[in-house]
Amino acid sequence: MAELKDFLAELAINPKKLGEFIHDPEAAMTKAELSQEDKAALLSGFPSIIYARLAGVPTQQAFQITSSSPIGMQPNVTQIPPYYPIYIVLAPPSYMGQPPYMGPQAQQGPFPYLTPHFVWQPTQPSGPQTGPPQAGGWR
Amino acid sequence: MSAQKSSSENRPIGSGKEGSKSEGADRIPHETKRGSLVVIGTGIRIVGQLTLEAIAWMQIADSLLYVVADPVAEAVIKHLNPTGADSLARYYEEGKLRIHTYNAMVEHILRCVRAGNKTVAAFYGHPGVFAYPSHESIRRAKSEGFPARMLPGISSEDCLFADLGVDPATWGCQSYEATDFLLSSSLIDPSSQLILWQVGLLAELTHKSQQFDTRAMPLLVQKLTQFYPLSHPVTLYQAAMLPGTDPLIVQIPLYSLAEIPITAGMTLYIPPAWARVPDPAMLQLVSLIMG
Repeated sequence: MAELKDFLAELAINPKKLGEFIHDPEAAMTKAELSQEDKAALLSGFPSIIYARLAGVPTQQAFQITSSSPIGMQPNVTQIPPYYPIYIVLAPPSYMGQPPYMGPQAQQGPFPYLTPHFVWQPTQPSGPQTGPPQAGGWR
Repeated sequence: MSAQKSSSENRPIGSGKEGSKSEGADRIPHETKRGSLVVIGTGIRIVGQLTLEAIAWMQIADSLLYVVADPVAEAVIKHLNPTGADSLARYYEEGKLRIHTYNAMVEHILRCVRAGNKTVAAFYGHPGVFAYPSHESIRRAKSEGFPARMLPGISSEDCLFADLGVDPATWGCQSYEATDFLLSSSLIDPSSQLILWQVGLLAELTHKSQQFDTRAMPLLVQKLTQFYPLSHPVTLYQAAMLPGTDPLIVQIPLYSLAEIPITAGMTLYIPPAWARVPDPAMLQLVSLIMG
């Protein structure tokens, strides 16, 4: 039985397998002998669930992660009025099918952490563009 | 990973399968073992955004140093080069000034180059976009006489244009690091698009393992209201990092920007608020020249 991390890593370097996954995710996962738990996590569309599984968090616990995302309940694009409640509890898993789609709000689990590579520094750039904006340049 | 092969088996065609790791690949004579540096990007979502060229360089590296954002990317890197892969993430420390972390990374990269290694440094996203250690290590390697170059990767900005369906050519596009924008006196053009990067790290110069301090956000809102109406719609964006997941796209009015939690990976996109005003004098000059 393949590990979820190895399965995804294989997709990153094998275009044929990535194509199979894009065409039919369930068939590709079945072919790779992913566990039912990992299949459900990957099909959930929730990054925090997938990262939890990648970190070895038990399935039931992974599906109960509370997200602290500011996102609402609509898929993809969400318009948020001010003071919108921000805490969302995900539904428990259903291995018979895909869990209810709740949009991308689970992006902000504890696992996907983008370590920054850049920090602002109080230095002046060099070169010919250091002068003030010219007349007619900006506004 | 099902395709567990040795590092040499995974090497691209013509890269020297029989073990001459440095031969031809970077045009450095085989007999003179001389250090070199290639900086690559792994994309924001490594599944689908890793280039063939980046894969090839990672496979043939003597030292493969990396800073990536997720365990899948790390698994890919270790698979491609099991003996040479070495994470630089250990230089991040809670509360430590990030510039010190980045300088330590640069020093580590340069040590490998000086030791005569074909060194590859892999950063998530595009290695030249909001990445200080990559540019600085190339600059220093070159200044010390070593061959050094950067290969492009897919950046957050590339993902943003695709996911938000906006084109920098349509109204023009201004791009600032959020803290730089806040602290500088530069004027912006609100008839053009504006992208503020690292908005979740506003005025935050240290590393935090969980949540960065965003108490300066009201100041950013205050500055933006010099150019935009309070009700102007803005978008918080974060690219998807895993297959089968969606990007984070949150549209809010400008005035509520300081009211919601913003994470380190988020980018702020602001569409134009005003129509462009043609320059009649320049139009006349152009028509005189072009007919």
